[in-house]
Amino acid sequence: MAEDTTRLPDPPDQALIERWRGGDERAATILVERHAGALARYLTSLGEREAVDEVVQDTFVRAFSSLDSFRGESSLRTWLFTIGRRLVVDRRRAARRRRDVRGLDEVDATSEYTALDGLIAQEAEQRVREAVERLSPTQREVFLLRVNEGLSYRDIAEVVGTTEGAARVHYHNALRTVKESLYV
Amino acid sequence: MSDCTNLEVRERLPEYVHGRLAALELKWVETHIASCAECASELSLLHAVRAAYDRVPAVNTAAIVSALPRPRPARRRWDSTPALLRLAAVVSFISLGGISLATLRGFLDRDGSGMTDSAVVLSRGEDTARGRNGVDGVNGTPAISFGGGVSDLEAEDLLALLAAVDALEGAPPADPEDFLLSGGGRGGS
Repeated sequence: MAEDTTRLPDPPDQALIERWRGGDERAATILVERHAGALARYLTSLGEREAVDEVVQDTFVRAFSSLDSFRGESSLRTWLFTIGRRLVVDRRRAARRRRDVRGLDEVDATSEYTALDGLIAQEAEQRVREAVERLSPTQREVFLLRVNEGLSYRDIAEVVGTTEGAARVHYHNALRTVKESLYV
Repeated sequence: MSDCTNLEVRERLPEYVHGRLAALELKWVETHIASCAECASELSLLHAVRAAYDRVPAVNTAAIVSALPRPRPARRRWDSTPALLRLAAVVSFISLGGISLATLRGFLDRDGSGMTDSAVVLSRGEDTARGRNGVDGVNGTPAISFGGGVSDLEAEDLLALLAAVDALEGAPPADPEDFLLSGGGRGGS
């Protein structure tokens, strides 16, 4: 089948934001469809699984409510990740106050994916997951942002709230730990 | 397994996985990977990690879109100014206007033009032998100078003015001079 060469390139996020500001609500649909999946995946990697759709929605609502403050210095996806992460932290704090549950840094991510284990068909994938879940929370977050989402160290530093140098060190330490888990 | 010492290539492997390298860099990295077992292994690991976490939780994008706020029309600059600031601007404008008017009045008064509308002078006759408009003030009869309007007189002054008017003796106005006979008319013929 011949490839459809008449398809226009996807408009960049900034252009869609301007269109939405001008009253074009379809632009918001494109932006949500473009970033919701990656945002949900990232939030899941933080251990937020039960209410991930709710957090994703809250993230978009908060982002669109304050788009005036978005200066475009980072990508929209990075900004969404930053907002989503903050919401997860807030939810954890609120839950901790109510039930004295563990905080984001204390989440044992190995247990977070127990329900998903049965869905993972390949043993190799399971082993990789286990190796990644053994990382410290910060290492795991930085590592997955770099490998799964392809974020730069600069963007990772903005999302996680650290420096580019620290993000780079976390990534390489995580990579070495995962290799040791898998190959030793 | 040891790591490749070419850190520049290793730093670009995540971008390579996501297909974000420019053509020149892509060629350079691919050439290196073809001859480097360590980097090829690391690349396989990155692909495996990505595949292991590639499952995207179901998200209802339509529900998200419907929950979004409506885009706000671009506000004019004045509208975007805080209300308190706007109020301060209005007060300042009025104050400056008032000060300017008062200054102008003072200047005109000093100039002796007599244009002030509050130039009503009530003389009780203590130091005035005769009122400026001909009312005798010797016996305490008020003399009146009415240089302007009465709109800004105090109630007390207004009452005094009315009393002074009442005290005036009714006097018929002098007969006007015959304009034609005076010889000063411009249009006489």
